Amino acid sequence: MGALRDRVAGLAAIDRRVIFVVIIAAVILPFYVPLGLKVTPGPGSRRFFDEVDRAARSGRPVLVSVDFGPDTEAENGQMLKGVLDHVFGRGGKAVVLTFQPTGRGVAERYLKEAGRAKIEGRDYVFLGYKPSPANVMLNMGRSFDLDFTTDAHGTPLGDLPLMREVKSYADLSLIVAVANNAIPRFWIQFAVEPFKVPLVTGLTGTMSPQFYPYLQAGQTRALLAGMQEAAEYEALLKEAGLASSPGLALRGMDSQSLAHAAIVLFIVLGNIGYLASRRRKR
Amino acid sequence: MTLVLRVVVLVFGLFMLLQFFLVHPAVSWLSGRLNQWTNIVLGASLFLGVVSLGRAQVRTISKKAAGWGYAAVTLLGLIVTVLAGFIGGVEVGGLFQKIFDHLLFPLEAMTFALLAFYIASASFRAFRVRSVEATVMLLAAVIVILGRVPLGQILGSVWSDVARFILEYPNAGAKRAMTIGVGLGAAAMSIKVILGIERTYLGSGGK
Repeated sequence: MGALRDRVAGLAAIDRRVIFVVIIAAVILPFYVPLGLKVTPGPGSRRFFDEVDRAARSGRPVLVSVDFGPDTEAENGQMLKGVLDHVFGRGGKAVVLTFQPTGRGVAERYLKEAGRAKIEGRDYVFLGYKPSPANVMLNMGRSFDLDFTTDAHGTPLGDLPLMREVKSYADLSLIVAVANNAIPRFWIQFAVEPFKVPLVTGLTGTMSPQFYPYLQAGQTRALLAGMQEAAEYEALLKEAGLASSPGLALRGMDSQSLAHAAIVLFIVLGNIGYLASRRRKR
Repeated sequence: MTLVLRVVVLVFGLFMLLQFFLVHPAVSWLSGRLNQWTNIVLGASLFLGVVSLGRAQVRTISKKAAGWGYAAVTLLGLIVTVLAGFIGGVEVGGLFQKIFDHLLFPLEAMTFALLAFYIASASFRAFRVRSVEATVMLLAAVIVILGRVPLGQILGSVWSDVARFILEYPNAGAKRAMTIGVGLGAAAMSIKVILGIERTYLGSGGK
């Protein structure tokens, strides 16, 4: 009995290498043996889909702010891909920029893929990276050419047909901020409030809890939170015929589910061990 | 000199604040120009940052201080990337973009991916039923961890609904309180800087 109690108490100190191996297995295995878990779109992803859909159909361009780097590409990348496919799929136009230095490479990569059948300058424009988001956002509300004289490739804005339509936020239908940081808060402070331009946000799972107050206040009209809602958005795009095959977010949900289950299992085992060791000490 | 700087801060600080309340084309024009100036100053500060980073690495290498090998890699990376950008341009297909795609991209992704293992290990050690508060936090964490993946939907739609409730109400309420607190603190600090009460940004204790 004593030996069993010792063994149970030992659960409180599982070697972290065991945890690492289990997490690796939980992440990798579902890619080879899919669990086939069903992703049902919830109200958050539906609202996001509806807002982007309405904006893409409006005939006015959508501004996409790519504020993440390679670190959170697994989460944010699928949101960005979804937004670009959605806008282009509905015949909409996009003005893309980034306030994160590493965002430039990411944005170029996704634009190149999503904009294959589109013409740069007419259907989309990439304005590149700018530091100091607050000042640039305030200036864009007055006139884009205060801070942008050329696009990211050095073409003067006046030579780009799309930028002849876009002078300030008043010419845009929506701002979509895909981020792993607090830049969407700058959008709220320096674009949404002073210029009354609508905003929707796609954020990593770790950032999204900070933005629920803004969602409730209507300062961001929709919030796509983490890979789960990115997968739900992918499912909605598929339903609408805007994506042909399941994207990476949908495929990643099995891995994420299993990894989360493994974490919960370890928390439960750790607590069983903790309670047993406490009883033993008494 | 300090007095001149304090007057400059007072005038520009007040103007940047009042621009949100004064609707006049002249104010709009001036604040647009001031924002451009800020961007130029920021551009210069980025350059200073690069120079400072380079100097720190050179100092570490020349003294053969601990970790000088890492400093050498940092310096080499900095020089090669800057040269690749200046000589070959930053367009897709160039060396700069290749460095981004094939070096920075996997390195950053790998570093972030490691977090998953540390979070798993830290959750195992931190979430213990040590007290009532810790137990409440543990329960909330378990509900959200499972409720934010499709597995939560297998456990029942109530599970996902409770997870959403935790995020949208207790979490949002706490976050809103913190945001208001931080906002009031930032406003108070800004007023102190604008009025010259807080002067440590001038260096030498603000004297």
